[in-house]
Amino acid sequence: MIALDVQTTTRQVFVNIAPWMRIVFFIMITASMLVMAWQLEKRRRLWRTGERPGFTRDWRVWLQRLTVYALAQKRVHKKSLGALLHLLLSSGFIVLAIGTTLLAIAYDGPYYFHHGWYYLIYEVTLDIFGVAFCLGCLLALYRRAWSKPPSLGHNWRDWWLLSCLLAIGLTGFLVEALRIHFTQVQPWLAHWSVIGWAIDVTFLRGLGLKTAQNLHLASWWVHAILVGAFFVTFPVNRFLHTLTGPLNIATRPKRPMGALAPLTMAEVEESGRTGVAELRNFTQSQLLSLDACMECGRCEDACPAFASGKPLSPKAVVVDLRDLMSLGGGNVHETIRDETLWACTMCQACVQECPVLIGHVDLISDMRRDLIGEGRLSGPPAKALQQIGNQANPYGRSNTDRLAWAEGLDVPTVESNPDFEYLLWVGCAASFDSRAQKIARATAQLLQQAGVNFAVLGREETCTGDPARRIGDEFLFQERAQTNIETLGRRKVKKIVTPCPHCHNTIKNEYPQFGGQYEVQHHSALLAELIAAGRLPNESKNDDEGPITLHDPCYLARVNGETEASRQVIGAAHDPEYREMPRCGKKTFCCGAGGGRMWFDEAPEQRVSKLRATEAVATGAKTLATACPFCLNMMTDGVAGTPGAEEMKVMDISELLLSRQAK
Amino acid sequence: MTQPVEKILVAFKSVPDPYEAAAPGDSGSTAKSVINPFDEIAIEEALRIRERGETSEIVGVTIGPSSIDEQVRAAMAMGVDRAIRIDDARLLDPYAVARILRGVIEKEAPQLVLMGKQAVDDDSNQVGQMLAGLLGWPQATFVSKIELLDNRTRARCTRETDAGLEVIDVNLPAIITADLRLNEPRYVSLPGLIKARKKPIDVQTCQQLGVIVEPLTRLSSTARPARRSAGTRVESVAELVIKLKEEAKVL
Repeated sequence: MIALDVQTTTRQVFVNIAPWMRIVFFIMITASMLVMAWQLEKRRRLWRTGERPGFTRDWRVWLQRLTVYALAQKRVHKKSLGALLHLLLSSGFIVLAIGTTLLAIAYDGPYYFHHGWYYLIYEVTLDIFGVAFCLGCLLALYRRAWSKPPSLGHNWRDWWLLSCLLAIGLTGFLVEALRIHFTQVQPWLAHWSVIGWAIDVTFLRGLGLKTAQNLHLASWWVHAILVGAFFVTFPVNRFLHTLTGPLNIATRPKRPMGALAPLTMAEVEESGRTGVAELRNFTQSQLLSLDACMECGRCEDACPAFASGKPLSPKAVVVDLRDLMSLGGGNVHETIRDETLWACTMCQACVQECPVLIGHVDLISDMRRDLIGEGRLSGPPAKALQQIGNQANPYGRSNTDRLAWAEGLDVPTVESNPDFEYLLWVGCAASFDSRAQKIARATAQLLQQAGVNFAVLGREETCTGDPARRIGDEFLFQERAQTNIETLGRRKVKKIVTPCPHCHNTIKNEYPQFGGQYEVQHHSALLAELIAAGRLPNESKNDDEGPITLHDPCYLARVNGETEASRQVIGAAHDPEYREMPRCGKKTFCCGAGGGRMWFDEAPEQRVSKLRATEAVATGAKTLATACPFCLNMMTDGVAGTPGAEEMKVMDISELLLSRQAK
Repeated sequence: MTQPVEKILVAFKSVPDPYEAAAPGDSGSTAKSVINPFDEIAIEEALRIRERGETSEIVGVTIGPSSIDEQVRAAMAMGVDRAIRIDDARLLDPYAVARILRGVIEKEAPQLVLMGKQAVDDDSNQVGQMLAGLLGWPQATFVSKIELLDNRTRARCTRETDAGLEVIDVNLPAIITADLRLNEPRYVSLPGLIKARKKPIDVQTCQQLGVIVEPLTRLSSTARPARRSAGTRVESVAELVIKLKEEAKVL
């Protein structure tokens, strides 16, 4: 009997709404949507002021990214109130929006399908997600009113948005309850509209039918007007990201995290500039990305420059540029100070955190390039660039001293061993910095002990150009890249191993832009392979090592995803004393040397390395292992003078492994 | 109403890159040439004075053959408005350089002349002083700070001396020579240099200036410094004292 009823089960759409009211309603909703569309079109025109498009036009990439980052919201998930409320709000909003659209189709379309089992499931689904939606609004309001995370930021529009959304949700339920009440829906059917039914039987008990009908009309109009108001204000508040976020996720340029965009001399000659000076010099894709930001503040929370008290917040960069865009554009350097741009270590933590895939580092890099073109850099980093230009290394040492580190080791060179399998790319730091030279020595000795057929370039090796490119001197970088690619080709190099994550990243991810394709490994990966193959023992720790912790280099772990090899080299898995820092693996924290910051003066109270050293000390470790000559340098400085770190040794993984071979 | 200094003249010299390990007189040295670092500081100071709106024109001047044009371009890429190269390939001594510069200054009539305190290749540290003497102008040497005062008719200069800082006022026109701490010069990138390639260099000869100079000094020979021998490690303080006494004979 019930089965029969189910087939005909439905509800009358627009019950209690007179025909003229429906017309007013349609006009109001259409008008508010037109206002919304017009405002969105204004934003789109602002994005279009970008001189070049810069979009990815590959729908397979779009689909894949939208699934991972927009639908599954991979970047949003973490154990936090913000992530939970986002899940509630977004799932609620999406389901309610789809439900309302389906109803509109059913009402206006040629085929009325809003009945039967479909209707019952529809009712219960929308009620459940309506609860999620309201709960999400309440949690978001709680977060703004009480927990107030500083990086979130706040303005009056947020109160409007959340109250408006919550009121839409609550009036929706109220309308449902009053409809059930005055149309006297049979209880078995009313149960499917679970929330409306619950409100009806608890709060509306004994309410007169006529009163309920009038109240229904009133709350229906409040609900409808709020929806209209929501449409009108949608493009000017945080909710805009529901549209611009997925748009940016789909279309942002496709490039490895570790590769900056190349620039050609022809482009410079045509435009007369080397980077971004005016907002319109950004690509349309970059301008769109500014509108994708909903100011969640995750980038700021992850930023080492911000944490160390420097005048940079990746979020503020995006928001300031967006405000400039809203004003119709202008000179970016009048909005963002030079010190702000120089403060970035290009550790990519902000880029990794951003749920809508904004490329903060690309924005900063483009603006840095203009500062370089305009001669706005001086002091030690300027000297480093000059020395990369003159001596082909940032240390200003004669390239004839390239093999000074190898004294007494009988290291094979490409001349003495032209049939090498691996090229050991030493890098400038391990070639010239007296402390880092020990990394080169340890690595070469380990390769010798394991019987690896390798060679070094010696004086033919020059800076990869990484610091030049990251400081903003693109053409100095390209000069180095071309020279090195030519050398590597001449020496028929196929496999490269290097103890420097920055050389590793640049050769692996950036040289392909100029035709250099090699199999590049960080020394941690090759050493781990040699250990696994039984060619280098690493079981027994030395007595003086004590508990070990590992500092993951950003350009190895975060940027290139390599986190396990270093741990294998130091034997973390079978070392009961091994400690992990809270920020480890791909979520590591910068040492402060990236982005060319190695060559900038850093005020003692603003040292990133200090923050990281404190974190390392807190693990109780006595040895801080790392896998990068720059991290080694920075962490040695950071550890010095950090309370509790008096006994702490900072060592490269290759040094630790070598010290375990001697026994 | 303050008037800007109408024209600043900056003299600079092309020297072998001090970071390249080349000894004086090395034949076939591949060392690149650069603007003498102290002169680069002088150029930077002129640019900063212009950025403060205190001058309207910066003229760079150097002496040498066309092979130093790369450094002239670098000066223009930094921001020098125009550059004069006195074409003379001879090895000139400071007095000859000062007399040539006097010729240029009499023609250009700048209100302020800036240059480095010395060139890092010959370390003479004489040109600025001689030039002031030849012109009868006041001079401020080893300057680490410059302020233009009294409607830009006077320069207050902080000098770095062995005894400490000395502040002196000189009436313009004057010669000021730059010390290391005056400023940190800006970096010039490749596109900047390429842009500067389009600017013309005003090449003049001593004859055109009406200056006849013959160097009064002559380079007779150069020699590399002796290579430092490796140090030794001592086991104890007692051994160190013995070695200092007997081998080094310093105690």
